[in-house]
Amino acid sequence: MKKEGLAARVSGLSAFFPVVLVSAIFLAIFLKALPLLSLKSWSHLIFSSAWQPQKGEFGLWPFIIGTLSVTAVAFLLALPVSLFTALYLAEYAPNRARKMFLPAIDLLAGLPSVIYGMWGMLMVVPLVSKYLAPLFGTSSSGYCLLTAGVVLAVMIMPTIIHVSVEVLGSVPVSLKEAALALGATRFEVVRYVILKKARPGLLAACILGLARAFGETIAVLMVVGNVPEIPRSLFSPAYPIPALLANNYGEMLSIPGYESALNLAALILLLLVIIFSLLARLYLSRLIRRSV
Amino acid sequence: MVDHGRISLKGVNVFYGKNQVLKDISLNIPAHSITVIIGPSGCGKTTLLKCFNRLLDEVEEARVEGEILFDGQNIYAPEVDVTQVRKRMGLLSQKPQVLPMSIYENVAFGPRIHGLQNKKKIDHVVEKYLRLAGLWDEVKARLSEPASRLSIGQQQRLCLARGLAVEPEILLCDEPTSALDPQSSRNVEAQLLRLKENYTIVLVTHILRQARRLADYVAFLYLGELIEFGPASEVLTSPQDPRTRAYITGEIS
Repeated sequence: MKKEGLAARVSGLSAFFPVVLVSAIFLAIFLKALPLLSLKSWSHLIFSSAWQPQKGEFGLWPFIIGTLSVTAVAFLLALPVSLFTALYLAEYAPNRARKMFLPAIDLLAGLPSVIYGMWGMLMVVPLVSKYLAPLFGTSSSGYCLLTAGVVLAVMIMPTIIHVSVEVLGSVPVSLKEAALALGATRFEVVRYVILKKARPGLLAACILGLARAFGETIAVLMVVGNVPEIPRSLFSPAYPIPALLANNYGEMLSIPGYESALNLAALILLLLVIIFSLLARLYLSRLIRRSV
Repeated sequence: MVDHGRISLKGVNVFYGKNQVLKDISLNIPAHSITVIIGPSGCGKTTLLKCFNRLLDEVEEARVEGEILFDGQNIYAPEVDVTQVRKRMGLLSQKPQVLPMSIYENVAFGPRIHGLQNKKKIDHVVEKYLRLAGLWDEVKARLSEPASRLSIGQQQRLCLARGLAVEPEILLCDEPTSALDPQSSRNVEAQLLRLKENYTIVLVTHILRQARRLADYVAFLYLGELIEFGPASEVLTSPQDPRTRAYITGEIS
């Protein structure tokens, strides 16, 4: 009885630990960002596009848009490919192919992101600057939103694919059989039964992928161009917040307000991620409730 | 020629990989009656059932040899459209598997995928088969609710209605009451007895009393072999083979 009480208390305390840690991180970043916030308004800092630290202009809008657009491009590219791959692996592929593909995909998920960055510089950048951009009648250095989106998409695909395959695999065989027994074709079973049954889980897979995309830093930084402007097209450079922080934090901090501005950017990144995952969770729980 | 076997099996062998699970089964299943397949677990009852509607096609390592004739046509012939074969045989599985949609949509699913679009006709079909499965009065006020909210017994009758809605000629039942409480089991059994007038029913069970209550014909499977087949009164009361006798008296299970 006594031991049990102790165990409960210890595990209770450990459960608190992450909460405390996140709050501490938040607080530290917030306190660092505060000096700038006392000089300029939130709305000015967020919505201004002027980023000239030497002149004391710290408009974060290009970085916010950079973050959102790189993530969006990556997600839109990764989503269809991942879902079709997962569907193929879970529903159509022979067992042998599945056993070969899944470990390979897991391996991709575990590669250091700097490798993806190098691959992007070696392969995707030239491809975009030499072939894709001219094809669309424009010129580009190749270090741009599209390249970053492609590299990031490739990075988040293994996560989405793996989780999706598991989710699809968890649909009971007897449910598929029930639908097949009605004379449904394989495609009809997938379309009307499996995808419907697996929808909440597939959404969770997407959220995991999205969360990774938001925070991915090194690989994106290597190919995105890092120009603090709002990207005009897929072929323009961008500058997402993680890249901004990784490139500059710890340097040039003698400029007044600079460190504070970077902390504010970090705070905004955190808030963006939190808002997204909260919205996704809300939607997910509604989806699950409705399907019960 | 008396062709009263709607389904005839001729020398059916089934392998899972190198493992032979059904051995040279030949059998004529009479129409408009209930044929019950009994046997200890692992004897191949479910596999046999899955041969009929070719669900074994979905099992990668499974291989079927021999012929299964349905109205004289071999359903394993290469030119046969498997969805058409399955459409002619309803399946009731061990645990009710409702589709992730409303009660109404569950019944409408089959007719819809086979091309029925007219809303009025679908309404009609849904009501007709829910009535036939003895479920209409319980669900008519909540047809748009998710089917998963029904009790497990109601779900099984919904599955029955859903299977009947594609207008099959044969009903394949794989221990359809094993997940149900006694009341719901009796309910499903009663529906099956009523349905045999118009359908050929093949039922797998390991409950001998259920076999006694329902069977017109009994097939006894043991270790993948068909040991005995005949009218229920004969097989269940005076079995010819010692293994059947041993199973019926409870010596092997």
